[in-house]
Amino acid sequence: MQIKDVRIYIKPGAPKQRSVYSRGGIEKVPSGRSNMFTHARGFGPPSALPEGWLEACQDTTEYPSFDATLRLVTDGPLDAYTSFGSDFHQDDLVDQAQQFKINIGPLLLGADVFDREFVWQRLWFTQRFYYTGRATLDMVDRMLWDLASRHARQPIYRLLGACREKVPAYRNYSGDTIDEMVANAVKVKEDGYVGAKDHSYRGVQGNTDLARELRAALGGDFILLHDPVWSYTYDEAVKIGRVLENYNYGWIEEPLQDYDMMGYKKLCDTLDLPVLGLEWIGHLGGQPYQTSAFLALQAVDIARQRGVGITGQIKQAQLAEAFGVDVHGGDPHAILAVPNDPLFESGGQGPRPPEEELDCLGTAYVEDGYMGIAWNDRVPDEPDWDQLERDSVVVV
Amino acid sequence: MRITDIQIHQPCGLLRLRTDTELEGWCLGVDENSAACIQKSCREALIGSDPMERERLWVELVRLDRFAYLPHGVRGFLDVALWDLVAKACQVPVYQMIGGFRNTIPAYKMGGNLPTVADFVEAAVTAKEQGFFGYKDHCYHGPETMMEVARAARAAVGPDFHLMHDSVQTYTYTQAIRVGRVLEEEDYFWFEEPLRDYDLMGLKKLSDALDIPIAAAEYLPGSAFSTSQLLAQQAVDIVRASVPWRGGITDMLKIARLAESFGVNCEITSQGPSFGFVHAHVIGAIRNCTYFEATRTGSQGGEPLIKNPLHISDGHLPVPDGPGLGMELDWGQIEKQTATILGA
Repeated sequence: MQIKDVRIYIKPGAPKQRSVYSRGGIEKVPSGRSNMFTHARGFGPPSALPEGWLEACQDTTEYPSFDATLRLVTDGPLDAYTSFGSDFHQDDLVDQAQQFKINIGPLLLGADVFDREFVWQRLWFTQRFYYTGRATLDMVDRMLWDLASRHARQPIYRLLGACREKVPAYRNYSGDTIDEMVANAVKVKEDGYVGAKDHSYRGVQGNTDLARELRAALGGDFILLHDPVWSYTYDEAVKIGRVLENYNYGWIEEPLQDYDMMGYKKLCDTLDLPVLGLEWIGHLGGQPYQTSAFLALQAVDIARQRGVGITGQIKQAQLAEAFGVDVHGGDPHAILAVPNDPLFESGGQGPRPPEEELDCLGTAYVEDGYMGIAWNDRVPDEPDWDQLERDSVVVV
Repeated sequence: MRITDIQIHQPCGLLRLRTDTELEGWCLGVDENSAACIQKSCREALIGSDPMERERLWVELVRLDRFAYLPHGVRGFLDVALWDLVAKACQVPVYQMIGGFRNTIPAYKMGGNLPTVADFVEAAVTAKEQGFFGYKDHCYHGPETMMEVARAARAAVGPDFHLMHDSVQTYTYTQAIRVGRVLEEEDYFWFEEPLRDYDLMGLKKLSDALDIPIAAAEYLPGSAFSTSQLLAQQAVDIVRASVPWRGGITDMLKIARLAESFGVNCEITSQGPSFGFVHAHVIGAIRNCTYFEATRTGSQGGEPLIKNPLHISDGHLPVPDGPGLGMELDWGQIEKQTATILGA
């Protein structure tokens, strides 16, 4: 089944507000003596906005928007398709669509839809020359897996070789004060999750207080995870690491910048507590090719998945597996297909949907503290392309 | 779909994973010892299982390696049959079940330990004439003869033809350096298994010292788990792997992806079981392998059991495009070559 055409449909979407929300600001990590900066929201009031700034960026008027759908037309019974984004400006979407069609389109034309490795490799090298980043590769790879899933009437994790049917799940929590953090973590436990992860940038003292209070409130078995996102110096990371070891934490995540390979190496050697890293390098698109060096140096104990498509995530997971290292944060399908991604970071998954809503693509759900993928062998109907074409304002 | 039986026809060596459907998964080339091990130790793990849970079964078979003291080739046959089965169920060839990279593979010819220098030269020239892209010797006559072979073979085949030397662990470190330097001068493509696979320090030193790529690990137990150690130490420049000696298709993929992450090629070794069908699919699904290793042009064998044997022509092996491995079996011939069926 070959890709014969690339079409992008742009049609009117739902009217939307253009309001911009403040992300909270960037301030020094408490106590301030490290002179490192972190995300202000999460350990106290966000950075003060100058008078009038918020109002200047808030507009409750609803404006027209446009949605784009990318379709890889094949000569077979199934096409590959996905959302190509949305925008307030039709012309911007047309421009993006044309860029895709002229640069990426020819690289896909004639490719067999089951030659995912060929497409992945071609687009991997393409990103360097066309400066596309990992997004294009990620999107196209997932489209091809989606098609394969519909072809085989099986969810992706089973095509990959289902390793597990469910994995334990934790949930992130936050709060402006330590009391609030503890109360929210208790809520996570009450909701049935096996663990909870903070994103707390309070510095060594604040996070020590937090760890102590959390463990006291949650008891011994609950999994606690600390994600300070680059907010420690090396020495501080050792200090907080010892504290977390004392309170039986599961891991410390991104204590240093991902770029600090030697710092990570030293920290992994020093601490018993597993050190998780590589989310940022993954975000930049460096997986699995930079992960290999971290693993060879033993500079990471758990490798974050951010990967490039399902194909890239499997490469990353299997690379880590060869070193006896776990990964974390994969796509639900990738997680269930490998033996070394033990904990699911839930994010918006609901309980298991009713049978009539399921199809062969599967739906990730979280129930009783576990993530699983519910599916049946129903193949979703192909979109009505003629109707979409009629509804579109532009077809590229 | 559930696996209901594992049947192994002997002496023809056909393994059949039977299911509660009409579909079955095959691997051809199972030896008598492996067949006995499979029946004795692996049935429990597989019977009643959903074959789509391939990765779970792989993990279980790896565990059995250790706990049932299995020879390290055993898992590979079962893994191949599982891939054949699930790809048939999904109505795609195995290489596209994995994610296809190519549907035709360039090939080189591999030859034996021939009596004289002239024989090696003639074999290389013949390989070139047959359309192969390279020739790999197995010269165990020691460094002096090999250096002669290298010089004479290169002179005879000219510059645009890959030559590889495989000494299969017959050199000391010092001999390997001497031979390696001559191979560099004669622009050899790689230098294979100069030392024992277990000699991590020696391989490391040799890979550091020589410019010519060192290929090793063909017979190293431990799948990707041991290969990672070689790569982390930069002890090899090319990883060798084949079914069944290093595991099954799953193992080949893990080893190849691991090597790829290190910027290293995983050159799949030998024809493999099922007369080339298995390795064709593996190489069809990975980027970091240059060649299929063949012993002859034309049919790759398996007749009369296989009705559609693979053919190399103009130096290329096509990847079979039928569902699963794409092997069509002649059941009359299978019956003729079956004295016993090990199974339920």
